[in-house]
Amino acid sequence: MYGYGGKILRINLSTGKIEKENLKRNWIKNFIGGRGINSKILYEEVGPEIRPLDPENRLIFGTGALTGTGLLTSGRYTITARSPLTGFFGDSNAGGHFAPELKWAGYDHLVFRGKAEKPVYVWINDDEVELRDATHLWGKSTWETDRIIKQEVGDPRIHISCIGPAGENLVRYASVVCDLASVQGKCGMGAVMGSKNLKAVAARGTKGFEVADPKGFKELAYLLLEKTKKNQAYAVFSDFGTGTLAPFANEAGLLPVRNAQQSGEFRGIEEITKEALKEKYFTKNMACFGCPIHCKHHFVVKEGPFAGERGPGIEFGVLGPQGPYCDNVYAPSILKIQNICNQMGICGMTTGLVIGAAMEWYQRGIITEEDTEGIRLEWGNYEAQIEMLWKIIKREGLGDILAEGASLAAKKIGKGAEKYISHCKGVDIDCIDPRPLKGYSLGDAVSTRGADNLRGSFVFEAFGMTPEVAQERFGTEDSVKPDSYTGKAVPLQYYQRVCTIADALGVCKFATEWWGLEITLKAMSDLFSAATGIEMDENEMIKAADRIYNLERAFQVRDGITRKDDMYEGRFMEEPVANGPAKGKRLDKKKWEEMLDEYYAVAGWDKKTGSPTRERLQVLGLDFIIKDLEKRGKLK
Amino acid sequence: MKILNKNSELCVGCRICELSCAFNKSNKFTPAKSRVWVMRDEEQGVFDPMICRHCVRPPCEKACPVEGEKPISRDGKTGIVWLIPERGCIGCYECVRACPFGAIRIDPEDGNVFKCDLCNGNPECVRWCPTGAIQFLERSTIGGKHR
Repeated sequence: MYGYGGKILRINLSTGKIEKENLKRNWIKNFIGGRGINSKILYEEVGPEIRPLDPENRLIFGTGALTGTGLLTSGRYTITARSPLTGFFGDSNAGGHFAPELKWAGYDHLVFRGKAEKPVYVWINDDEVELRDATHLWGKSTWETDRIIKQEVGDPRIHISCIGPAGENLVRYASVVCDLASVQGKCGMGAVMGSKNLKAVAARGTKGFEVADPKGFKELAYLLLEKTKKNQAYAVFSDFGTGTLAPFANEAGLLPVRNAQQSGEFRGIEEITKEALKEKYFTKNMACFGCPIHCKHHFVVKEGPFAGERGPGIEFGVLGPQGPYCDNVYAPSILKIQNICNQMGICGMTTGLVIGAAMEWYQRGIITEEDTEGIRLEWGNYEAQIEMLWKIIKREGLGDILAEGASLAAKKIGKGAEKYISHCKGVDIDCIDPRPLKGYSLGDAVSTRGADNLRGSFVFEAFGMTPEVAQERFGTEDSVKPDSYTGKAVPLQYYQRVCTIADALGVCKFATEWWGLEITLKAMSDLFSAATGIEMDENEMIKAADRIYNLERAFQVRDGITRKDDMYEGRFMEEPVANGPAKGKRLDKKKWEEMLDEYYAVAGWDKKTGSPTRERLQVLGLDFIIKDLEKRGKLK
Repeated sequence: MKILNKNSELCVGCRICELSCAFNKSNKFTPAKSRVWVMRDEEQGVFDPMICRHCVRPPCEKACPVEGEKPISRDGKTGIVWLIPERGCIGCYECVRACPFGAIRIDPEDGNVFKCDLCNGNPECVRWCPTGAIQFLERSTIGGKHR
């Protein structure tokens, strides 16, 4: 089999049974790999009756057809499971250097079910797969775990994907970490792993794999590499990663400050610009596997209370939520917090958003110093931010409630707490204020894992695309008018497809045309065909992307999600932007419904229920889903 | 006489060099077949490409116990240190132990040793390295910026 490892490794942690299943060719043709095949397995094996922390929930690791080729950002993998944070479909994607080892060892996917009696880790060494005792690792940070397992195995060059204490404590947004700072943060995959007593997966692969058309593949990959290095967005991301977005968002009034009570005009923006961070803390560029963009940066804090802190960092996804979102202007504390999150295995983004919410509750007296046991959750009080972070990780005091996520915590706390948070389907928003960007908001609403820009938001809605180009590509200039509720569906669907395929192939979305980089849908089809020998042109790739997306949507529908869930709960739906450059921008509920109508029509989803229609599912060949939804009374 | 040079400060640890080398030499994607490898420490932010230096007085050649024409030896004219196992290599790994840079590699599939041969004057790793951390330079210019 070209381009793939060829096997799915199935491990039953309750019984200790390890099985190797052949990866079927028609699975590849229909769902490509990576996130695509992960989602298919989850759909078939985890119905609504299996809850997130049940042993029968599956924890699925998925690499893609291009993972491990080393050519152009090909190190990524997706972890999929029913999410403990939302109760619905969950997945998360990370880079680092772990996934290629799985692929080189011969495994495209790992499927865990059951729960080990005592903590274990999996050691994969090409054909040899064993479960090893991890009792001595339980309670240790992901960094320590990484170090210790490398020593035990006797090879510093293996790679390890593991959880920290947050996952062990079943914090609902616990993460899975590989290579110190490559993290599956969203949706709480770390908690699923913790619920199975699975501490780590360590892997070394030497077998490797071949591709169908070596010459063609190499030529295409080299061409893409050369083009990437000349790309404008490359110049920006390679220099400073996604952190570049902070000052830009701030100026546009899109940067949420103090739990989005303010948007933009962050008093500490000068502390977190590229220039500030590079000058004071960054030492070196760092790359995930196979990536020329090297958007990570090694940092060292030289002075102050966090002197000596060092490691890989930092992206906008953590910088925003732990900085401006909590009105925290002290950059070294943000770097320290990032390290704590990566070491303890907790989502740096979600934690910042939750603590920010708690800070507003504290501000309004909804929670008091008694509730926080003396921790003064005041804006900008980074010491309190760190103390509360530890409480969450350990599930102590108020931390035990906040560990449930903002939505569940707000319900528990009551007293109107729910008014001051925003989420979609239980997932907190990312790190920008979506109200000024109607298309972006739409993307959050119809994402198949809850609020999320990585499902393919329309990045060029507010910048970087002329009205003429928008007209040509998407049929209307409205697409690039942020205030417009029309013209957003077609571009959103296009970029959803780009992101879905990238996730299915194991390449980094930030190297694709989603952000204007060089890996286009066409390039992905060509690379896939050259690698696997399975000829798929752009249209067939698009169909596969739609098939994956609609399968994920069907999973949500089966769980009971309907049209009324395709919106924000809380502040973003109810209030206008209070101040700053985007003051007054709001989401109009009536126009929202029209925008949703337009998307549903484009996507082929039922206007009333929000479910993919029977016709849509038929065209995509998803007959097994039609039967399943019918049986459950979810399809007309 | 051109050989490989490396500048660790430019290395980002992406390992594109490893995969492009392995793919070029074996048609397989696996770092196990790569002649070059990158030493990586994420916590300290250190990345160092371990290249063959094609030494003038190679310890690998000196260590090889084979009598007569050795399977590992330096070509006086080109300066390239060749490893051709068919020329009587017994697989004792003395060369592996002798190299201070870990440049002699062992194939996990068959136990044979292999090393960099500069790809017929067009080193693949140099071609692909996105930051120029590995270069192909005239010997006399190596370390030039420090002189």
